Amino acid sequence: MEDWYCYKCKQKMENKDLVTTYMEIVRFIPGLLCPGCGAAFLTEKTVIEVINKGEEEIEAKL
Amino acid sequence: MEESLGETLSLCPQCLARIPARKVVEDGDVYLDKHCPVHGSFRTLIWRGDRLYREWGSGEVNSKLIKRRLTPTVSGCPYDCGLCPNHKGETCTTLMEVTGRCDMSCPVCFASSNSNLKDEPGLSEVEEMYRTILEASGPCPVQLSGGEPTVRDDLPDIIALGKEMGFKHIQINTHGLRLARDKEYLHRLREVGADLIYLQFDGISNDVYRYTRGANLFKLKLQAIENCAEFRIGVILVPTLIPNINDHQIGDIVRFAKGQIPVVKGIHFQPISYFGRYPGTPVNEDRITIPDVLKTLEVQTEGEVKMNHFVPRRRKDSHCGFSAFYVLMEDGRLQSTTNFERRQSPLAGSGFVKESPAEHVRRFIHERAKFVESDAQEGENNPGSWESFFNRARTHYLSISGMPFQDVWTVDLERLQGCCIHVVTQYKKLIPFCAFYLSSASGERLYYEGKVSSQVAYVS
Amino acid sequence: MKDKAKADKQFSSKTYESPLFNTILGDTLHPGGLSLTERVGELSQLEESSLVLDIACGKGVTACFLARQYGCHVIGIDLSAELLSLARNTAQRERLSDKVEFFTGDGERLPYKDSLFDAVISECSFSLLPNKSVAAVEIRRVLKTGSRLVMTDVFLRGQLSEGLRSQAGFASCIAGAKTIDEYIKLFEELGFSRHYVEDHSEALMKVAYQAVVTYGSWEAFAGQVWEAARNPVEQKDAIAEGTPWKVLFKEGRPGYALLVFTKPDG
Repeated sequence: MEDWYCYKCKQKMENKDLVTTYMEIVRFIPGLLCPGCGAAFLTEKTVIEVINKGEEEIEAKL
Repeated sequence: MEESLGETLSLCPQCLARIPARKVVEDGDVYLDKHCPVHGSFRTLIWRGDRLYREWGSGEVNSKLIKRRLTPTVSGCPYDCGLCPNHKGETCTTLMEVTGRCDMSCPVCFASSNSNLKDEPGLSEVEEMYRTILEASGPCPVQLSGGEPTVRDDLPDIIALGKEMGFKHIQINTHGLRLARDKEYLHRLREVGADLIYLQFDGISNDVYRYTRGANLFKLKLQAIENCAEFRIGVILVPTLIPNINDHQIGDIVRFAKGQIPVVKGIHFQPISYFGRYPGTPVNEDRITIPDVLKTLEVQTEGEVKMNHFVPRRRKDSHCGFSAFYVLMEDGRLQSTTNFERRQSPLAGSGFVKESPAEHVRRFIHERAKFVESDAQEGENNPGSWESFFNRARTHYLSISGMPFQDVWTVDLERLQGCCIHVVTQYKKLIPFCAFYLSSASGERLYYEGKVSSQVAYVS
Repeated sequence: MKDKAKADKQFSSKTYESPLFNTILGDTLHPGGLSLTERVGELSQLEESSLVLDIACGKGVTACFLARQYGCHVIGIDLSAELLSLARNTAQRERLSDKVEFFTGDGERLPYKDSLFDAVISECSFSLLPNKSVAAVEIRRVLKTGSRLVMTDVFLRGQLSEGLRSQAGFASCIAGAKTIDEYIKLFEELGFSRHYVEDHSEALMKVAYQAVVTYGSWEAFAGQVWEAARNPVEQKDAIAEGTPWKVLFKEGRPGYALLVFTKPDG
């Protein structure tokens, strides 16, 4: 993966498993974390193909 | 000390005249209080626990208007149903009575069956009814009902016809006995694309069925579910809840349903309402209200199901019904995906709902009923990933919902005006569910053969 | 009139003893055979502890079938000693004698106390009874509350005048049949509730077809039956010769149906 730098802190972003929650469910997703300010980012692919799709499917059942 | 929560309109249980009514709080419970100039005062418990009632608020979800009104407003609600221009609930499901016959004689049935062979709509009349729905509301989900629809050997033809005419989702409301006994019939239903079985299911032991249905039916219900699993057609369990008869089995029903996922897709609780002839007024002890069901669910599942998982129906009157959605996790636990505090959809931003509530419910019904294959997906093998969770959610889920029908004591015309479940009749009308089945204390139906009964007094 | 009714009933029961009826109707002696009896069983909501009354049980095929299928107890009554004897033999052969019993009994005067039975079954026999209201009251009396009468019988789509009916010669099922509405009215007026009707007319058509195929015509078949039945029984003025079967069928337009009536609580 290329190097990414935090816009605010100018520090290099770390590849980390980020803690994410949906309702009471906790899961880890690989993403980018800034060691300075704690800003976290997910890849576009992850968001569109996994999170958004999954959320939509569940919301459709509500 | 009594406190008023608002004014509305209702009907006199004796003469079905329209009379003013108030929702009042007394000793922490909510009552509907009304007065008929001829027959006196009536007070009925509608909700135990006023705090939740207030929290659930007034609803006020604005639904899109119905495509076409089939009757004008003349005498005012509820005497002009068809639907009339005052109706504010777009159709989310239409009920079609395909027969008046039933081979059971259940004491608690809301649809009393008393017609013989000749009153049954033929296929051409069924087509007319489908057409009426298309004209008024477009191709919404349809629930075939009765009487007992499976007494008709040509039920598969009725379904095939609906599919041909553009109805994408057709459910069958049934006691399921024929589905248990006649696999070939079930197979035909599946072949023509029946989407979901709405299975009458009062409990997990025969003493319950003996009381509610007059026969020991549990084994047959199990067989029906087993056969539905074999033919891959989803089932919603529909218990009629009666105080002291089966409300002690609410938790058991949830546990039973869990064990039957994925053929069972949900449970839809129907707290008892009083139709047909009824001596006197049902007392508080005869009533099981929404908060009673939610509380009992939490207690009897030891917190696996919690009261705050439930969200009110998105209807004009938010106290009309409740629902929650769960994913059955690998460890056997029900994981909720709904929560009252966070009931706004994350996708919706700040209050903006992308589609009308009825469209949403229509899509929900369609989505929820699909019998989905458990297929492998990348990342799914990692139990800690979102992929695995969403994958699980696709196939192993359970919806828990409920709706108490209005009877002549509890009927609230404001709630009726927002009703989205419409019954189509042979007389080219759509009539809201609770208006259609409503009957006076002496058993006189408000609507009979598509018209308001001549016995009704029109008092404003 | 009372004697005539009794004579008619005995005469009918005799006709069912004839091998001719057996050829056309099979061992069950009713249209629809055992598969229709299965449906009757389903609607009777039977279980092991149930006690069932089979009115005009004939050779006992239904009674034994139900006892076998559900494990319940069945009492069968009939007016024909010959058929009852065959029924008892069948029960013995099938080792069901502890569950099924057969007695002489009249459908219009049931020799049982009130509220005894979990179900009453009547297959193609109600139409034969001359005093239907009396029979219906009796059935209601012996049924437990909430329990059902499940009957299959000939019904009419058309109308038959009294004149035509009396010309039928003996109290045959078609001559004694009513329209569905008339059956429902009869039972509901006498205190039954929640009727349920299933049409099984194809079963009757099969019987008629079989008769015609075997004997050349319905008249030929009926003629032979009447002949066989007449001899052992003395009938004087009641029976007319040359029953106009064609007219009966054309005017009456018979069908076959399954009807369920419930004895209500309270």
